[in-house]
Amino acid sequence: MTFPDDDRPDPRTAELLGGMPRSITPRRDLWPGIEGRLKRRGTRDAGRGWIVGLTIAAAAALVVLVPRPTIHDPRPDAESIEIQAVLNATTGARSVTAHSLARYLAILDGAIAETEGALRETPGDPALAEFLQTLQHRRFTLLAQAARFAAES
Amino acid sequence: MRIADCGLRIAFLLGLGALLCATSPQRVSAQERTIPMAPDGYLRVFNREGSIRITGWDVDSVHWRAHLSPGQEFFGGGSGRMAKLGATGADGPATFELQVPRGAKLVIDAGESTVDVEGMTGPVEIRGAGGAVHLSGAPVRLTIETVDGAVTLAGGPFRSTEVRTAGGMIRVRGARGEIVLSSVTGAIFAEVDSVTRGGITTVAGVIRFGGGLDPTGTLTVESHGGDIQLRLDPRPGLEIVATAFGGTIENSLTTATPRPVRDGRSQLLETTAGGGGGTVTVTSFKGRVRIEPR
Repeated sequence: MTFPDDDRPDPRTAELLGGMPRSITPRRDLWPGIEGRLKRRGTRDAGRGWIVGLTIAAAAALVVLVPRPTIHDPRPDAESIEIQAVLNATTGARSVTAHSLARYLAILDGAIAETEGALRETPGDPALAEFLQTLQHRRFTLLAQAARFAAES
Repeated sequence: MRIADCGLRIAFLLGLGALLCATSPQRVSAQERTIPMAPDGYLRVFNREGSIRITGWDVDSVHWRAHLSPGQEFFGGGSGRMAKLGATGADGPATFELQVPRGAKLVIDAGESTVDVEGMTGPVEIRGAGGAVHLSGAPVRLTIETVDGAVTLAGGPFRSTEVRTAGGMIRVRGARGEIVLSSVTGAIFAEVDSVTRGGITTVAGVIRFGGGLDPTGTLTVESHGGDIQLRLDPRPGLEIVATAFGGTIENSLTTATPRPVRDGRSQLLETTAGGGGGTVTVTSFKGRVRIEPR
């Protein structure tokens, strides 16, 4: 470990340093310039605040007003189709594991669609919503596994 | 005489040619080596097809013996802290047999290989596809992921266990503490004690769980279409909430009976055993739930 005293300057440097003044007074008052710049920055930040607020409000309006796609879609998810294509391209169409992964993704998609259907019948059911979340999480982990498998093949 | 002699020579040459043809493609190259490794070092093993067999030992070195298919090359080496080895090149099965310091961290990319691990106490991570995984010992942390490969854990105690398969069957004995078991269609059979934090989920597989919870533990069991059978030890105390959206609930652990909810379309069971303690939450979409005493 090093301490400040370990790096003492050599005598020549110490002598030069000893001759230096402890402080230097500026030839003119710098504060008015600094204050002016701070004020201008404050005004700009306030302007940015408006822009940020406006963006958040616009995003919220989009989320609330723009119709979302129907959640009950029995067709395989676009991601599942894409991952299947990637698996076939990287592992070959005869890869048993690629086929398995595609089949398990389809099973998960079916289970998710079925749960979403039930959730439409009883909207806002917290237990069903949580159950759906678990299925979707499992799907993400399987997609990640499929992607990793494709990358390593 | 000359004709017979010539025939013999031709037969000999044909036999020799046939022998060479038969043996050359089958010949495998073998590699054997020992390198030093710290007791808590890091070892990574790669294989795409074949088998990997790893045994933990009390020696501060890694010893391996590898048999490769034609066209494959062995790569391996490292420092005393970490090493990696595996097979590359042509397709074909390769077999690896290793002895590893038992406290080392072990990471295995198994591909389609089968994996056998025994005697390890350091953390173990295994990623595979179709090959079965069999593990005994007591790794401090265990993470296994396969696609179709069955996973069997025996021995233990496994104190932190995470196993994910899609279609592979999961069999666990000797786990305790933290446990996460997950499948898509694979059946899950688990005998677990003193669960502090547990999650068992499947989409279409069967779940059979036998065990008990730590008095402050939590266990979540979820299935979409597979049946759930829980044999629970009531002695440490349990609070159970079971929901069957479309299936049924049978309870013989306590005297409580499930009640209909959601206009009679679902069943809900809320009960306490042994004065309460750990929390068990069971959710099934359309499978049957059975809760019994262990």
